[in-house]
Amino acid sequence: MRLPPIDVDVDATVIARPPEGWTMDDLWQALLAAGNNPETMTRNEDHVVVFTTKEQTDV
Amino acid sequence: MSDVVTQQGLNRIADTASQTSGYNAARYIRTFTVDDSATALTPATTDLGSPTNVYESAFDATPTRTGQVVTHVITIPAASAAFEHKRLVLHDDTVANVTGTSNTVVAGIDGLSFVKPADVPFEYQISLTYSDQTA
Repeated sequence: MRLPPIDVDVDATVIARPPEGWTMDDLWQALLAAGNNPETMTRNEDHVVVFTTKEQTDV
Repeated sequence: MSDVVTQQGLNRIADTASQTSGYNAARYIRTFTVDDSATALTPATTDLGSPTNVYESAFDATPTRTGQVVTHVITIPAASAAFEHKRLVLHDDTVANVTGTSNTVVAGIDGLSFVKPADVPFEYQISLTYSDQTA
């Protein structure tokens, strides 16, 4: 009898929140000005998901 | 982009889970790094290979486990790690002992490309999911 193989997956999600006194627009513009690709970022009500592997690895 | 658990990392997980003769109570997954190296992580990787920029951090709190998913949360403050992030890596030693050349790499993700502005803190959520491959 063999035990089932164990797999270990690594996932990451990176979140940016506006510093005190910043609006979400300020944050979004700072992320763009730093060179980030808007197509890979997701803007939410109070934070931006800068990067995540969740969609790719969950497929 | 790919995610890798190194052979060294698997050894550490096995040693720790079964407290083998190689078990060391101080050596467990306890430090996170981000660096700007384009070098791929492989199962044989043991260290970061001296990236130009590397930032080391302990976790914000004790990692949590929900089911078979262990989540590590790290906050890098504004004014730190303001460079292109290409690799996110977990290590099995204290933040004081983890460097660009320490043999501490357990797992990570390579091939990334995003930039942390100097005036914005980032929160990183790194998870390890343990699963039965036949499920």
